[in-house]
Amino acid sequence: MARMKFLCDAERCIECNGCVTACKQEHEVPWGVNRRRVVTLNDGVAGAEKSLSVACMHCSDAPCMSVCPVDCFYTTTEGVVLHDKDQCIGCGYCFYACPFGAPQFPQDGAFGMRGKMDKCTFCAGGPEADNSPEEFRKYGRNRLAEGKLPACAEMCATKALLGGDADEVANIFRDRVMNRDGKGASVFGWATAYGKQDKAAPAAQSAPKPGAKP
Amino acid sequence: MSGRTVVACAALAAGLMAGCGERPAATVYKQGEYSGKPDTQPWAGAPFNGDRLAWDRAIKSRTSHQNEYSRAAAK
Amino acid sequence: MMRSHPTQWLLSVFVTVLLCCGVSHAQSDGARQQIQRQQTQPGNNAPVWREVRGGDNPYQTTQVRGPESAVLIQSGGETWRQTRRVFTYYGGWVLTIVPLLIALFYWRKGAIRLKGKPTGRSVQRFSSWQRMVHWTVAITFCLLALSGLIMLFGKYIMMPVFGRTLFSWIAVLCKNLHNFVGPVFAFALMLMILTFIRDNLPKAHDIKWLAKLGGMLSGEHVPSGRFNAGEKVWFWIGVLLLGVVVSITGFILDFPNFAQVRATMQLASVVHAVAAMAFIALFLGHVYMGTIGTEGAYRAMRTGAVDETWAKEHHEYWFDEVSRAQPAPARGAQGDFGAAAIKQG
Repeated sequence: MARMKFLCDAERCIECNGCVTACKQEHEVPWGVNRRRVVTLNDGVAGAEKSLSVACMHCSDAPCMSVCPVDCFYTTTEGVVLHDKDQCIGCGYCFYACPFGAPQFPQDGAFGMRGKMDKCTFCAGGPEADNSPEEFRKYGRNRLAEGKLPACAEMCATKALLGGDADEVANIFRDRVMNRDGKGASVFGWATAYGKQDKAAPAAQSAPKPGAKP
Repeated sequence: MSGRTVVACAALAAGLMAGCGERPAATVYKQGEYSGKPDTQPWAGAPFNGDRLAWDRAIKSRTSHQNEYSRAAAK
Repeated sequence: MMRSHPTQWLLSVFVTVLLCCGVSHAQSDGARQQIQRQQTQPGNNAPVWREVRGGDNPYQTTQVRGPESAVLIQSGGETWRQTRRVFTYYGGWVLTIVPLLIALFYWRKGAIRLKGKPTGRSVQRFSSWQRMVHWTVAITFCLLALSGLIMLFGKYIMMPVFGRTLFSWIAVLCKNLHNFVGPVFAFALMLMILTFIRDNLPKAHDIKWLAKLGGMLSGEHVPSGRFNAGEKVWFWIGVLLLGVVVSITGFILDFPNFAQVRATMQLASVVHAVAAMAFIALFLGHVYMGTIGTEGAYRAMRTGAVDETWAKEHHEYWFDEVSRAQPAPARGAQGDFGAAAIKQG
């Protein structure tokens, strides 16, 4: 039984915005609506610059769902948070509540009035029949029903953005961390988590390898 | 005020107060549980035609395909 | 040779220093800690994440254009959600208990009836402009209160009855009604404040009125001006304070295209809802006193004229002023348009 999750590896994300473009093109998202975006932290600060691709995180206890005045959200069997645009009234409460700024509103009325909310669907469409024209028009393509994963994750060039079953994604990330720079456990272990380098990873501190960066 | 009016007012008040009970503020997803609103399951449609195991396999292979360490090992 | 002029050299040094300053300025505390952490524990990005999570990182960028698109994560939403839960719960109780209290009061004490016999001579109490402004505010208020309450409580009261589809139709109607009627209300409210502010200025005799609660419980006669202290409290706290607060916060929420951030809208939403519910609670009191609670009060705002007996019993100082300025015979013709209705009632 799958539980769908996104994971973005900040060590790998190169801020190419490929995921943003893939999402826009896959679902023909209207102008002004951004289901996915890449945020760069400390841009230009060597050693502290991290980029991260962020969209709806499909929370297990989604705040959007709890504040929605018409209760238009639902969770699929795979843990994907979806919503019914026919019921959405465009009040914007989900945008206030969401920690990640995922809900987007096309400003399609007078005075910036909000239209129906639009957000990342984990490429799982909406309540309409899978891959029907109505579903595509409202929610974009339903890749999950085709046995595919979200377009953003599948086309990520550096595989920074991973999507799919949470267990599998965690396995991939664990593999990656163990293999990273050939350091593995010394990087992702007790020392990293709790900072007691003298006990857990003495080698990294006391005897730097020749040619290692200062 | 007649007795009937009092009864009507009490019924109205009771009806309105029914909304005052505290509800759970958060909806928590339980693993594999469907929240019950109308939507088709992803494996119901064309390529899988209700074969859930085939869909699971397809998703699993796609997911694990993102791991280039296992892909490099397979070659 | 001309290029290596000292001033140009000085300028280039200055520009370099400026650039360095710019770079070091862009470094936040978290970024500096991260650079150090990278030395001791490579791969541990905790300082960066901690800063981002706390909302303290001043240096976040994105290429996506949108409201606050560079903010990776915000915590205010959870605070807003929890606050909303609290005021929905207690607000619901307040709005249930207030009508019950009013009903109880009406049941025990009944309406305030006229003690004397109507004279048949009427006094002009509200001009047509005043009534027009009052009813514009009143009707828009009712629409806003009803649509707002449906949007806040409908999920719990109406949705279980109507189902999601029908309720969402009602809710979308309410949202658009609320958004478009709101500015009309705010505009009419401003006009009403300007219209009625002069007669609502506090006077010395208001203190006596308040101390005796207008004789509402004892049945004693307490004289007052054109508006009694109860009406003045409604004017200053309800109409002016709460009215202005809900109007301003309403505009912040109604027009999300002026680059206001989520934190502003969250705060505005809380203030708007709390003030609106207090406003509705006071409004219920005002409606009670203006309709079934006081004999003849509704007719004053409906037709603009009151009977002399009513004026004397409820607003004695005002009646004295009016009769001093315009003795009864001269007034008769002017107030005639309302007199017919009064005689019928």
